[in-house]
Amino acid sequence: MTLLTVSGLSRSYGDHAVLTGLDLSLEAGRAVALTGTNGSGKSTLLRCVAGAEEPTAGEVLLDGRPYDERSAAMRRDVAALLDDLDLFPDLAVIEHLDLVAHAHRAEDPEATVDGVLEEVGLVDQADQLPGSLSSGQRQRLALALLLVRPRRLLLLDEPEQRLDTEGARWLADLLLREKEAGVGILFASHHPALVEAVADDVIRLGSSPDA
Amino acid sequence: MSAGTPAPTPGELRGLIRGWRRGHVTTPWGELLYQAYVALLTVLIYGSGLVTAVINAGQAVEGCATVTCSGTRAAGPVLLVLVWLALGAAVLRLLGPLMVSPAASALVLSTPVDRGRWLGRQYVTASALSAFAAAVLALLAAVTAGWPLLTGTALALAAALLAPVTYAAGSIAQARPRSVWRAVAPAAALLALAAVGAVAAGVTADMAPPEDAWWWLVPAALAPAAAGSVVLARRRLGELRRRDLTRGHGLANGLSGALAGMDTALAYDVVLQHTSARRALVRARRLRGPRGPLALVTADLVRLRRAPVRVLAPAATVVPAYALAEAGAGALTVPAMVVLGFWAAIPLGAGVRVLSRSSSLARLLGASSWQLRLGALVVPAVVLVAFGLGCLWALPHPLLAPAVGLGALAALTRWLVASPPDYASAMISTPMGAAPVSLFGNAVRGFDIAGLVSIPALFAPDAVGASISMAVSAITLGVLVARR
Repeated sequence: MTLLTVSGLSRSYGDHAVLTGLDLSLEAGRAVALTGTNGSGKSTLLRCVAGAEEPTAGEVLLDGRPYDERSAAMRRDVAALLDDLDLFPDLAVIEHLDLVAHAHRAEDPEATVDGVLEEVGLVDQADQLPGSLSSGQRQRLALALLLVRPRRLLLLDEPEQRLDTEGARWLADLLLREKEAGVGILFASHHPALVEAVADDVIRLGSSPDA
Repeated sequence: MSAGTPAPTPGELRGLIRGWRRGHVTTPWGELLYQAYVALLTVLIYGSGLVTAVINAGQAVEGCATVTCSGTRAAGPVLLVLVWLALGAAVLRLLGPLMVSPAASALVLSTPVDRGRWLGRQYVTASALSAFAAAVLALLAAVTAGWPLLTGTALALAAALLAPVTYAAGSIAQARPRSVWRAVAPAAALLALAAVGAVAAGVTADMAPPEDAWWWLVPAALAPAAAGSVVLARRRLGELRRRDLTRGHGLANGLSGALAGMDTALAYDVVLQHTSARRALVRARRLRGPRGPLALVTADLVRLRRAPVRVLAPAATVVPAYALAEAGAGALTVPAMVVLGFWAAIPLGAGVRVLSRSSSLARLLGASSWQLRLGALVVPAVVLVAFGLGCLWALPHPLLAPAVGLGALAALTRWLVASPPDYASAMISTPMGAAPVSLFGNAVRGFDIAGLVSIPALFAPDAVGASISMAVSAITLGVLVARR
């Protein structure tokens, strides 16, 4: 069954149309990559799908029902990493993960968080406050925050940014495992190797080819 | 420059910089004279307003009817000086107090130039300004409280000597963070609190404005201590590290940016970010407790355990309520305590603040924004209601105690969740240029609600006024929490 359906989605800022009548569908366990130049609408599309931005026209369906981010059940299914991540400056890395796991009523939050910390390679940074993390570590924390919570659909805006070469390989591996677990992934990327490794379909936005 | 060539002196470098700057000056003389005229006019207008305010306040003090009221107000100037010094010490500790721009750090402090001498001018200027400000404040307070000029001047001089000591302590602690000088800021806070406590306990009830000439012994005794600490601090300037000097400048820049938009909550964000980044590492605690949005309560408890001062501040802020009652403030104690409670509880609202300023964390946590706000407000609510109850015996009616707690919570919530100024909205013309209407509303956020919930208590300081005040607070809280 189709997990996510986007039909006729448009988004304009005044007279400037960023997205016009965009259609896409995504099934559970599959990944769609959004590519395109800067300003082609990748982030805007993800923000519209996540409910962070109001589309000018069109609709977003999750399991065939209009996606409403006010619904707790729908929010539980959709894990989004957009470009607006904010963190509590006075809570440590592990406390952020514990908080998200508890807020989502994870079954065994402590074990889940320990496993994810290991997975993202932040065990040594567990006691650090976010302001002291490197940009790459901060990105790993952002990804970790998605992994400690339940999810059926992942929305990722350039998840590879600030990761080193090894980190990018790890990310591709992680997303493949997410697909195997039945999670649908819609992601924007400028990393051809990541797109090649993970995406089942590629949607190129904007008129000029991706850099 | 060969190894044997002596490094240029700070004076030579300053001369060079002054020369370059003069070469870049494009302002015509006419414009300069006009700016000087505007500055002079501003000083005259505000100065005359200040003098009028002092005279009016002095007349109000003369209207004190009871002995305790007169005694408390006679002690006011000393109290004000101590609170001023405590606040100053805290701000200086946060900012450095000495700071340099990244440019000066990279281009000057990285060279063999004598660092102590380079920083010396900033140290002397700031120290002198702190002395001047403290003296003016003390003198105005003394005149207002009806002190004779003789003792008022002695107090002003004492304040002018204590301010550089505080500044010196801050700069020595900046150079030597583990030295005993680091204790000066908390000691000043405790001293100010003890003084407020003494007033609240009625110790100053019989005090009259001092008239004896021996009060001049106080500044005379302070003078050697002030001179010694200034000389010592001046000698330690060369020990300051670059990283400690630039950090404060970054914070000051962030604060000035936030305050230019009259966004005090953003200024708090900047301070919290700065202190957290500086701390870097904590002893993390696993969050064990309720699931769902109430997990935010556990997170707040973790914060409290890590920084108990967040709850000690509202607890200590109860003391001024009794000092105000002793001064005969009556129903005015209500708005004063609502504002003080709201200020003291700001550090408790870190969770609400971060959840309100962007939607990303709310998205991550899954629950509705109102559920998350409610969860993050549990701890501040408990502390502020306890704070209100702590003021019980200082208020004209017992029901005003929960009204003060709820009012402070409503004002705090308004301050935490308000949107920043909307620069896309309609602009109005001001002497500073075009500014969005919301810019000015932003400056009074929190205070607006504090005023609103206090009005019923001011008009009817009884059960009816308290009930209306609580109802207004509850409705305000409901609206603020439910707002998307």
